[in-house]
Amino acid sequence: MKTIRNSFNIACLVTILLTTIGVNIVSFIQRQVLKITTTSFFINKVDRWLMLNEYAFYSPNIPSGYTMILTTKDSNQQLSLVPVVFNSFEMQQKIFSFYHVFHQDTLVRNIMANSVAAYFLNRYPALENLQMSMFEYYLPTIAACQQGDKPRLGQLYYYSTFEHRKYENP
Amino acid sequence: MKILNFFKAQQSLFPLFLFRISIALLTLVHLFSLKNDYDTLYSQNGFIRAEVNHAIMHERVLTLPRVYEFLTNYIVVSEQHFINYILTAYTILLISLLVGFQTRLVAILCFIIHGALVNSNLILCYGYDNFANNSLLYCILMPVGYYNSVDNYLFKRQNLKNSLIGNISIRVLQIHLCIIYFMSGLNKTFGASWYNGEAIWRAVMQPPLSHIDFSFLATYPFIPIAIGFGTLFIELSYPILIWIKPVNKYFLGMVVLMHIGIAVALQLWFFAGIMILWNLVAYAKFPERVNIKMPKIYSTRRWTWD
Repeated sequence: MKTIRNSFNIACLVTILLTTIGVNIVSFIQRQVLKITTTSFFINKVDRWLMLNEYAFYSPNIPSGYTMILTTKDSNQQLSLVPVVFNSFEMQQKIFSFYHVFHQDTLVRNIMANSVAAYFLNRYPALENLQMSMFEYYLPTIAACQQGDKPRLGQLYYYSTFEHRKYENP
Repeated sequence: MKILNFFKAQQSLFPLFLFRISIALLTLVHLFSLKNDYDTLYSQNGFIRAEVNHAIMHERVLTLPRVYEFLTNYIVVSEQHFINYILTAYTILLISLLVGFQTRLVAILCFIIHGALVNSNLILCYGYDNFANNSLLYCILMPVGYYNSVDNYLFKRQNLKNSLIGNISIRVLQIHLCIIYFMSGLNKTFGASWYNGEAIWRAVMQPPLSHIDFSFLATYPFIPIAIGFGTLFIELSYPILIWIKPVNKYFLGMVVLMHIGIAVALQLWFFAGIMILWNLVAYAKFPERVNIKMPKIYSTRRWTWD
């Protein structure tokens, strides 16, 4: 019995090893030969940042440091930025790995935008509606930075075509 | 024959004991680090809604919302309570893995639960989650519970010093690391940004990661260029230098330093932690035998297989 279990374990370990080799080679071919990659993300001199534009919500108590930004209108109808901070540091890391989704085609992007908007509408009771937008974050090259260029929010990259409204689950 | 000898070479089981406790500890810490965002991650109305998440995966893939949906056919429980029950059970299982109680069974359950947690927010997963999943799978297949475990105490087994499956396990970890480092390095060689420092510059200057102001790197561009070349050198030469006796311990030190650098600069603490852990378990030299003192029992049985 132990010999069978032993042999099974060894077979599994060898299979995992072979799978690891296979997956890495396939991934390499995808990236470098077929060019199925997200390297455009790195080649472009911009990063994309998600911003949620909202019209009637203001929360001055959210601490500084941000992963996502709510842009709100205050009583003077001036836009102000409210950083969204998740409760745990690790969550912020996870959100960062989420941005690649917004490089997908329009349908995927809209579906994800809906999902994220629904989350924020649930999270902030005062929030009635919001629109999603995504801005390029301009990061200059080292050479450009040496000549005085600075990182900054760039142009609008994506704006959801409709407002996301709070709804009650039936 | 040489290949067989390579796998048969005597290895202490201590690294696998270390693997078990450190994976269990790291997973526990990771789980607690997310404790205020469980609903955001795992509930049906989380950051990625369950229906969206389910749309991108096979209908039989295990996720927490699917299990909850299934259970609500039979019992009445709120989703928040359900998530809390699952995570409490997961915590207890990880503690069992840590102390080595019913190690293999517990590792299987941990692997299943961890898989369900990862699948519940697949889009938000990154390198750490994949390595944690691999690690728990290895805890099932490798003899991680044959050394300094509660199982040994309860079933009156002596600590096994080494075994064939233990030797093979450590070799598998070593080869696994060689593959992933080399392929990672090979991929990087195709990107020009690793030669001119831009890759490092962009990594440390991205807003969510720029907790430390690295803008001074623009004044000293040779630093990101050197770090870029250094990373390429470490990853490409890993499968060779890690085996060469006079230099391997220094090389291992460099790898660990590289991951500490990643942790500090990019704030990827858990990813760096698990990579350092894998490297130490696979290649660090440990004492032949380190026994944790337990209350004396009369050992009547000894592991004999292999």
